[in-house]
Amino acid sequence: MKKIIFLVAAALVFVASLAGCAHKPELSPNDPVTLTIWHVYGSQTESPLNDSIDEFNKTVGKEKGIVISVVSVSSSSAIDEALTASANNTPGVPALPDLFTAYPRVAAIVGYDKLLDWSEYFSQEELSSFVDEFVAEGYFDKKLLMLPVAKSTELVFLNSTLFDEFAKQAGTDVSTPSTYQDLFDTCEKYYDVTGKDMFQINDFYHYTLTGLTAYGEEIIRDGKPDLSGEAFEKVWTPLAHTAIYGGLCLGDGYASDRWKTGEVICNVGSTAGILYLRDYVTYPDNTTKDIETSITAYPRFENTNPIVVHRGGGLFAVRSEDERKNEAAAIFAKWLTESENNLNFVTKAGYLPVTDSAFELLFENTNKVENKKYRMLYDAVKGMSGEYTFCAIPVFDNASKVQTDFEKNVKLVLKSARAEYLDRTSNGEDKDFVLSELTRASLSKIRSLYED
Amino acid sequence: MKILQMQFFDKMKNGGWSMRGRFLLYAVSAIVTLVMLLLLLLSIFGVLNPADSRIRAYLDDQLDNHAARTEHDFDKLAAYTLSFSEQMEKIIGDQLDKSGMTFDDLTNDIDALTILQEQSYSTVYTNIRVAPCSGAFYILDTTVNDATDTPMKNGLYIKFANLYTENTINTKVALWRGSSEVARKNGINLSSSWQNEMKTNVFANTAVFGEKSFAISRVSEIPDTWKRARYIYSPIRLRDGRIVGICGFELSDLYLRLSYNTTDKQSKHAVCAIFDKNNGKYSGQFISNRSGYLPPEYSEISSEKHGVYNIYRCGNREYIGKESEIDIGGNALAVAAMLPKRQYNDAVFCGKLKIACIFFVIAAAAFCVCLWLSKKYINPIRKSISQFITNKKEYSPSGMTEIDDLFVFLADKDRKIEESIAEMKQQNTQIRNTLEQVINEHSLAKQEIARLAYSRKNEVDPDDYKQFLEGVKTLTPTEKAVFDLYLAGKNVKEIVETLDIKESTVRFHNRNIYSKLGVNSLKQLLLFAAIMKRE
Repeated sequence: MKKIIFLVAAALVFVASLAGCAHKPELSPNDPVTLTIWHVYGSQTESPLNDSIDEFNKTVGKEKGIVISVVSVSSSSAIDEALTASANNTPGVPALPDLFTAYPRVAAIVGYDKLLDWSEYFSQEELSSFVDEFVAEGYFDKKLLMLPVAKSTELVFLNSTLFDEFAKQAGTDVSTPSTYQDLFDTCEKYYDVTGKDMFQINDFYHYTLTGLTAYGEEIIRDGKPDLSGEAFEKVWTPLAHTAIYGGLCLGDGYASDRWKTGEVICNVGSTAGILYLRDYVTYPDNTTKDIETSITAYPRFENTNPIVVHRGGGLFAVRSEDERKNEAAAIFAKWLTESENNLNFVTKAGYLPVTDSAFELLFENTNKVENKKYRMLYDAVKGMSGEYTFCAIPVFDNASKVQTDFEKNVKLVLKSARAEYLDRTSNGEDKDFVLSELTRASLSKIRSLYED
Repeated sequence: MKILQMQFFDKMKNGGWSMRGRFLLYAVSAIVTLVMLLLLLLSIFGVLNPADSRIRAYLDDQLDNHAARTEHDFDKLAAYTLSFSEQMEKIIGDQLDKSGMTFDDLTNDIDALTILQEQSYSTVYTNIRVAPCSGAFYILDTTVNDATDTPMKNGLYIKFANLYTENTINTKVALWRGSSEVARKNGINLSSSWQNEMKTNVFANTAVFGEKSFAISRVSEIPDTWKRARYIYSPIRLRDGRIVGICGFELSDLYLRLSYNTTDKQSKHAVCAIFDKNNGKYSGQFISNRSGYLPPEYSEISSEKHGVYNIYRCGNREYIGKESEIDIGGNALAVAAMLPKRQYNDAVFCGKLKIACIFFVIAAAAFCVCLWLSKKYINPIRKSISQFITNKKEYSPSGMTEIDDLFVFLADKDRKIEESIAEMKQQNTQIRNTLEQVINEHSLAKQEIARLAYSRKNEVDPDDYKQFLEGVKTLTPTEKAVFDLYLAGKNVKEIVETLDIKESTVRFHNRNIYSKLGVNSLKQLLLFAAIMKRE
């Protein structure tokens, strides 16, 4: 009988050992896990994050059986739209990717319960290595849903080659502006001389946010922009004046588009915009001209302390029923935020690192950044650090739509005023009078759109 | 080992195995034979390698579906391409007629070419929206500036800006090649890799068309980007038949991956491909699968036949798969359904291991059953035999008729033998008694003879006896032989037969013997001889 029991037990052990054929719950290079990702770090031309992902796939990913597959390199607004559509199960829209980079505002759209809580996979010690403000921005309902992987701030980018030609043509000493007022004044001079717009603001919402904050007011009250204060008038008036007069581009799309053709030579935008700012302009006859780029600190508002936004979203992971996917996402996130890997990635993309040690390392070694344009960028950021106050973009319900609508409304109001200005002045009306009247009218108009 | 084998066969030959051992041996032999037979049959019918059969069927299905869909979609795209070229031919013809220009006059005329782009934009835009593609374009053999270092071609090329789904209804387009002014007027952005015009070496020479109305390009990198694409395009002809450009559609790797998908959960790493063959090497595009784990986009993929499969090598990865060829309007393409070879090997190994496990369990269970059966079947017999050996009259029956009949037969036989032995013992006792009686009589006779010999000696004349003794020594050998035969109790007739001599010769020897011994009769001779024998 003992023999029989032994044989039966041996058979059961043998059968149990075969269970491995059917179920492999752990990460293994023999059965790789693939995580799809939508991100914003790059373009069709180049993507530093794609390069980092290639590096990860070839090293840690290969060793552990993780493949990160880039599906879409897109803009943050396009990803916002896609995520919203996915989360709402809009017909024809694919399911959410495993990983995506986005602004905090999308967390509520996608749903907190659908997202991975990074704090379950990062130790307290690991989380303490991040810049506190960056991590704090990623918490929703005490869950760390957005992990910072790269941040940016805003700077002034100037095509100094064409700007110098303008200064020479203007016959006056036009220095690089340091305040918005100076910048708008220069824009009007540029318009006078060339008949073209000089400057484009990529994000009017950010402009208004920094302006109101600098004057001590908040942009959002009760879930919508509050434009009723005196501060808004101070922020709006110089902007509207130049937009209506000429010199400020109100066209759609990023400033980098018009940078390519030399139609606009200056913009305020994210440090990450550097990736899209070419070192040459192309003219309609298909000839090109090499240019130099000047990068300076974010403009101040008159008589205020300098303030700038820190922007850039973070990495989200969609919680999977397959625990291996969650674990793989955490391994990738840890790898990407290790100081060396993080610096390698962000400095190619014009972003800022997310850990204290990487920040120190970067600022101690800005002179070692090989590309002159990128070196200029990090020198500008280094110059702002300590002097500028960094403010976060407010997160609230419907923030994404409010921000998008605000952009549209500002452009709509200013374009309308500009068209009226051109119409009336072409009919012989006094330019200063019309300008003054339309500036005031535009203020009333934009306020009226946000009044109860 | 040989010794063991010899012992085994000796045991078999001499019948030295226990009943249970022999039973087990036969039963296990029967099981082994059945298992071998089953294995043979399963092997013949392919059941022994279920994973291979399943994968083969899966790849066949995938290949059929993939080939059918690819053919259908490329045919559809070819139809759109032909329609697109007809539309472009009309726009260009009308524009030239309206402006009174020839096509060659367009070269270096920025305004005319920009107007042409503005007028053709809606056509290109409509085509990108309706055709299953990632981009739409037309490229003409003319330029805004023929004095540039790099020869360029003018045209419009728009593509989806942020492609993340096959459904492109709401996806924005961006201008990749063309006038920025046209982009502004139509409210679209410039692509990050935008240029004013297209380099001339991107597409093959228009001679590629030959008799064909459209062409399908090989997969190549999209200039200035990290993406790859295949193009399907048609010639744009002037009314005189001169080819002045091409128009068509882009099928990027990403679009293809988003459009097609293998969805089988069991073979999540399976992938389908559309290949171009070039000098025995493959290049092409892979469509998405459930896991997203796709081969690297190598331009040179080798392939070799391996049984019913092809083995594809993409860098350091190996795939096993099947392929078939499709023809799209004279353009040959190979489509393949593939599976990572490692996954195939794992599946086959696991399948075989499971089969081995099943057989092992069955064999182990059968062996256990044999043990149990032998115990239940043989033990009562052994017990009965043991009891039978100990006590033939009182034993428990085995419960098997044949065995119990044997016991009865043996007991009966035993009883008869016992009776026979008892009878023989009785006879033996009788014989023994008779023998003892004979021996006693013999002993008494011998005593009587001795007593008579002693009394006769005393009656014999010593001188006669002395002569007798001396006479014996003088007997010839023949006389001695006759004398000894007399002493042995033989008569004349018997001596004649014994020595094979005539009776007269015996009588002659008798006279000589009597004379030498000094006797006158046979009786006296025997008397003296008896006395001599006793002395």
